[in-house]
Amino acid sequence: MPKHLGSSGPSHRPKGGREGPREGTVKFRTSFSNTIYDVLCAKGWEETDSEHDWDVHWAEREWVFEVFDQMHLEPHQRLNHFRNAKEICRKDLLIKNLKKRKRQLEKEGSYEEATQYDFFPVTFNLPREYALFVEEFKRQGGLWIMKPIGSAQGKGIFLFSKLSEISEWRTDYRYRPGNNKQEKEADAYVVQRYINNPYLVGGKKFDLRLYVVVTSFSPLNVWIYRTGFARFTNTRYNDDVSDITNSFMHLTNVAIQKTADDYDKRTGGKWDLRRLKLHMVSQFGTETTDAVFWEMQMIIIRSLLSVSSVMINDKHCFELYGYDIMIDDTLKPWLIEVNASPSLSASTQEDYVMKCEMLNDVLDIVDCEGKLKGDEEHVGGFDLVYENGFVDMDPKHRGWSSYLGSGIDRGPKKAGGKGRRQQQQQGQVPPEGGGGEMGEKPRLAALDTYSKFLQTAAKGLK
Amino acid sequence: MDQSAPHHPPHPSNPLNHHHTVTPSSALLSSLHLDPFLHLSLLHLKKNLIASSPTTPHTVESLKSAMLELGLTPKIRNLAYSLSCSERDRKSTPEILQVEQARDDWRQSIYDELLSVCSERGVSIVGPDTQQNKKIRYIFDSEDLFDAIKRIPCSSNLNASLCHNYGLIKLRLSTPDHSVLRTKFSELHPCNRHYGVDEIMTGSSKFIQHRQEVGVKVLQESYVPISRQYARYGIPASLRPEIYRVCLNLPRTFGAKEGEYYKSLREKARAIKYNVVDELFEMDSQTIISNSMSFFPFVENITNVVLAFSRDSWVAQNSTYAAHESIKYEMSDGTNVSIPSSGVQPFKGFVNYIAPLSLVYEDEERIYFTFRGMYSRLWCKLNVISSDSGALIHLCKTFEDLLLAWDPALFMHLLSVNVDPLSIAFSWIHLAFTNVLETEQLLLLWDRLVGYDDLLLLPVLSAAIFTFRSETLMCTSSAQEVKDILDNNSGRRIKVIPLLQAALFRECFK
Repeated sequence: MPKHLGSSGPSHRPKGGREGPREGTVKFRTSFSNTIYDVLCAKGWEETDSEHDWDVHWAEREWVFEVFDQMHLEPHQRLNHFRNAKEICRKDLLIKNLKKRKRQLEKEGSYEEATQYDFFPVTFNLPREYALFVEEFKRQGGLWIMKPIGSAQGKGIFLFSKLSEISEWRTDYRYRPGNNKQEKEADAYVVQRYINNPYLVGGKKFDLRLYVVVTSFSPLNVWIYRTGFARFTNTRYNDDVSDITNSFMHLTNVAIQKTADDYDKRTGGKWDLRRLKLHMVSQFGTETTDAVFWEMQMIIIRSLLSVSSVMINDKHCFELYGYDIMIDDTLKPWLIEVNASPSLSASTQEDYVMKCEMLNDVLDIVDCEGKLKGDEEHVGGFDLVYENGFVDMDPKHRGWSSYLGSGIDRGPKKAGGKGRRQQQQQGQVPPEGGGGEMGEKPRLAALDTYSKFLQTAAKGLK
Repeated sequence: MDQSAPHHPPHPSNPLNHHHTVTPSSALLSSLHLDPFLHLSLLHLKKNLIASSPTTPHTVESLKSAMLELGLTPKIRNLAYSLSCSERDRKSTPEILQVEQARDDWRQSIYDELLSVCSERGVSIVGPDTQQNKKIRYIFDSEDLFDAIKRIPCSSNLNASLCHNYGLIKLRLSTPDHSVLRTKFSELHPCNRHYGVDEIMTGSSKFIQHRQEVGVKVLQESYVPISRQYARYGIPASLRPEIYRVCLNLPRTFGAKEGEYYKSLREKARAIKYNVVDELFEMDSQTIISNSMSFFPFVENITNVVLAFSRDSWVAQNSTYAAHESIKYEMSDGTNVSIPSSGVQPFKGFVNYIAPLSLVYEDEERIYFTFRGMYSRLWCKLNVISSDSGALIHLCKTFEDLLLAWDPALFMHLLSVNVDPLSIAFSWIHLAFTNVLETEQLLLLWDRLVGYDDLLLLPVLSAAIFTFRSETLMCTSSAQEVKDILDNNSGRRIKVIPLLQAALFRECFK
């Protein structure tokens, strides 16, 4: 059983909700038109275009960069980004912060904890650390992945195993003079050792997307969503170096998978995290699986701890992060990257439902209406995992070290709101009734739900 | 086999002790003769004994210990058990004439369909496929089988009033009633702790730990009846791979010989293609598995398994029933082949029997042998037209009789809106609920099917689902409404074990 790092600290959340119950309808502002928009509407909240008169703004990051610094926010207003989330989302800054934390722990004498910060593959920022990279490359060789710092959806990423393969890139880079600071940053890359021994399911590689909400960085408050996705490639994995140009096999971003010839619209190549956990239990047993999921949770906490000191904390801000994690064939999880604007579009019906439920829970955590008491440890599918210290696990989940991958207990529920029909009309979501041949994700019933079920069963049998 | 073959004394709880009619020892010994594995093992044993002490005479004790060392004891024990079971289960009543006729017709119609698809394509069943036309269609599905069964008339020489008119199965088959079921499935009583119920209650960690410990001990025994008994209470996910194997009379751990055998089947599939047959299996796998939320990563594995299965003559020789007929074909070199060797023709939905195992086993080889075992013992009974107790028709009639007994008002109401309950439940039974339940629940159900080595829980569960939804169903006024309430998607929320318990032991819940 993995060790815990200490127990929960005193709660810093004000009792009785943030500011008490709201007067009137909550007003929201957003430029998104997909799941988050549907969820905000489904809550019965009012949309507004106003610059200042809103209660919650689900903004794009560009807005935060451009406008936030000039704005003054009222105490009750909530914004979905922290000012400098780039500290965790930009690949080069994340690495810098992780390395810094590791050094800090070593300086403090916490050697054991410092060694735990080995969950990111060897990475170098380019072009600054190019010489260091070459030294490592000459020593170890292997397969490396080049990622542009500002990229999303897999754009501009490529694999290489020979220095000659990147000499072209180097030349390109040199000839791109960047007087504009932003342009120069956009050309910067990280180069990372590629994980060439992924844990495969059905011979296929996958990576994991986990959802995390941070409501405060100091003190650090972290909510982790129980479920998430395992995103599969469609072709069987082959670690033959000659195959590295086959983007589809190696890169699992859904955007890239969608262009593969045999990409299947229906499934979207994703597994619910719970489905993966069950599969791993039958392959490796409960203890091993528990350890893997615990490790993933610790990656989330440790990465957030690494940036908590540099993040500009702001009581108005909260943020939803999409964590990308990969598991190798020794069942060690690796942190690939953190997204501050995880994709909110849905590729299938199930995806849509999952994202809506999750976003609804996020808004419940943010609690614009002051409905929360302030001592909750579970909101919807989110669990409060860290509140200035680790939060003790619910005794009901005895046997597991984390909630990740557990079932979410929601009562009978209708999915989506009027927005979903709009989506159907636009052809984005398949119409109802397209259920698969096999069942959907399972949900564990809590004790009271189970006995209610039994009572209904008995009643039905006269 | 010579006279020095060791006579293995019966295990104390061996069912052999309970049999009176069959004399096991003589029948067994002669069967043991024929088992090639056993013959080889005994030769090996003899060699070992002679090598270890060439001069001293061998006692029963030394033979027993030598057998234990070689790991023969569990294998012989299981072999003895399974032989005694097959003795006990051997059919004693002849087939009803109408059913026999229907079976022959059904097999013939499949045969004809297959050949007609071949000629539509312009190819022969084996041989080069040079045709551009890739048009292909399924040769049959659940509905067709259902139609074939519905058509079977009641025996004409019986008084018509004795055949109840309400169900679709007109045959007069005796089906188990409620009290018989309660006795047969007494382990399911709610006083017992079960996987599917107790592992999610508070205080479950002790139960889970206990089940795990018992399971490990059961596996050490590796004795078929004990493993089956264990399975009846549900199996923890980590033990399921091995427990299933033992219950199906396979060695507990996967062996090199099995790996080689599977490889040879894959080779056969690569070497000679069956036109149409292979394509139908592949199409089945592609459409169903690729579109499945749970199984899409395993589409290649499952396709390989089903193609290997079609090349395995073991299936034809060892299945309890021969569901379909193979096409006999003379190859260019004069050899005769059966297509497919397994004797199981492709139909829409066949891969459903394989898919759930992809979440139990890691590799396709391992999936293969468990699937093959399950097919030869269980699924073949769901695909044969026979009036035998435990086979498809009997299961369908059991469903109808149970529903009629449990909720006659509902049954009549459904008839009044032109819905025969069996028309909805048929595919549930035929495909062993693979198209209804979500996987975790499905495997909990299969644990019991494997544990009881019996399919009777399929009609019981079907009837239980109907009665569970009785209130809503009584309010329907059209066939479409009934179908909507009972459509396969609604099965996703079903918790199998509580439902079975409520159905069988309802007085506990009053």
